[in-house]
Amino acid sequence: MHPDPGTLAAYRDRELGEPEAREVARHLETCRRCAQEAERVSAEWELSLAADAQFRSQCVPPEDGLERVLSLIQEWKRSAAAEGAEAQPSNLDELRRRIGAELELYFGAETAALLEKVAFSRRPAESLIAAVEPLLTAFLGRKAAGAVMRQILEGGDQRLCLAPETA
Amino acid sequence: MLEAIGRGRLLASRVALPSAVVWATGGAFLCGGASVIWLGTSRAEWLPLFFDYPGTFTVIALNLAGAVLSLLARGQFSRGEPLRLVWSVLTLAAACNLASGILSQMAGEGWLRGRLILGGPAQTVLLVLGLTLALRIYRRSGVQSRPGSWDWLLMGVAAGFSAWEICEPVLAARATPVSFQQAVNLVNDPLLSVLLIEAILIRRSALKMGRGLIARCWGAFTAAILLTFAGDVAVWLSGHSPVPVPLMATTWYLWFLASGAYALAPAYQVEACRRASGPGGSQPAAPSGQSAMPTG
Repeated sequence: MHPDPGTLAAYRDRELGEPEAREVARHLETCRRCAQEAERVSAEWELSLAADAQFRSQCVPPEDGLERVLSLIQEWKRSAAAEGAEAQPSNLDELRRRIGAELELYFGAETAALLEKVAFSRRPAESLIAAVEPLLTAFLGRKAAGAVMRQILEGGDQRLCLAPETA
Repeated sequence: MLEAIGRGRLLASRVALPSAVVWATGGAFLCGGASVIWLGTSRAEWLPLFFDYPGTFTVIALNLAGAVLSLLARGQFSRGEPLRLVWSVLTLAAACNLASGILSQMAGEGWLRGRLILGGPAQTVLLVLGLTLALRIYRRSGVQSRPGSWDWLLMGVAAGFSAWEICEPVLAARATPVSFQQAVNLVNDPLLSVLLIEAILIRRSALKMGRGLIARCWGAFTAAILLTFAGDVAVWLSGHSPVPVPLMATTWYLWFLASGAYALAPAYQVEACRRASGPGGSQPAAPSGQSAMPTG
C-alpha cells in the first residue's frame, strides 16, 4: 500500500507514530516512486518556506495589520483551547474552508487544492496562515492581503452559510 | 463544499471591471464586423475607411482604458512591494501603446517614427521587463511551472519567425537599403519572441494556480501578447502573399482583441484588490432575501 501525500508529509515532519513511521521508511527504501514523491513533497514544502522567508524579509510590517492578525490567531487559539481538544479539528476545518474559499477566488481551484496538502500534514494554524499570507501579499498587495486575512480570521459562520450549496 | 464557495463567489465577481472591458471589446468587435459586412458588400474601399476612423478610435479608447487601469493596479500596492514595480513598468508600456495610437493620427515622418518606436521596441522592452519581474514573483511563490510540448513548439515557431524576419532584410540589404520601419522590426521582433516565451511561461504558472482573478489577469496578458504576435505575423504575411486586401483586412481585428486583452489584464488585478479591500471585502453574493454580513 503506497502512502498518500499527507502521510508522507507527516513522516517528513516526524509526526507519525513509531510503527507507522517504520513502515513508511521500509516502504520508501523499496518503492522508488514513493521515494520520489516524498522528495517532491519535501522540496515543495522547503520551497514554500524559503519563499515565505524571502517575502517576509522583503516586506515592511504593515501599519496595523500584523499585530492584529497575530492577536487574532492568539485569540482563536485561546477559544479553541477553552472549547476543549475536540473543538480544534472543527476550527481548523473552518479555517481551511475560509482560506480555501479566498484562494479559489483570487488564484483558482488548483491553489486551493494545494492547501489540502498543507492541511493534510496536520500543521498548526499558524503554519497554514504562514503559507497563505505571503502568497496573498505578493499578488494582492499588503493592504488587500491584510483585509483578506482579517476576513479569514474574523469571518463568522453566517458568511460561510452564504455559499450556494448551503443557501 | 470548498469548490462550491469559490464558484459562487466567482459568479458574483462577474459584474465588474473585467466584464466592462470584455463587453466594450466585444461590442466594438461586433459593430466593426457588422459595418464591414454592410460596407464591404458594395465597395471594398470602405473597409480601410472603417479601420482608419472608428476602428482606430476604438483601439485608442481601449489603450487609454489599459493605461488608466494599469495605473490603478499600481496604486493597489505600497512602495517596496514587488508587484508595484511590475505595474509601474507595465503602466509605462501601456502609456507607450496609447501614445503610439495617438501619434498614428498625426501626419509627418517624425510622428511616424515616434509611433513606430513607442508602439514597437519601447513598449515591447517594457513588457519584457514587466513580465520578467512578474515571473520572478511566481518563481519565489513556488508556483512556476515548466512549459509543455505545445509550448515548446509555439516558442520554436516564434523563434524561427523572428530569425527569418531578421535574416530577410539583412540579406536583401545588399540590394536595397534597410528602411526605418524594417530597422524597427529588426529590433522589435526578437523582443516580441522573448515576450511570447515569457507569456507562455506565465500562462503555465497561472494555469497551475487555477482560474481565479489573479490567474486571469496574467492569462489576459498572455492572450494580448499572443494576439500581438499573431497580428505581427499577419502584417508580415500581407507583404509576402497574394492575399487580397479585403481578406487580409480581417486580420486587423486582431488589434481590437489585443488592445482589449491588454486592458483586461489590469482590470482583473484592480478587481481582485478592490474585492479584497473594498467595502464588504471579498464576501460572496448574498442570495435573495439574505443580506451579506459585513466582515473585517
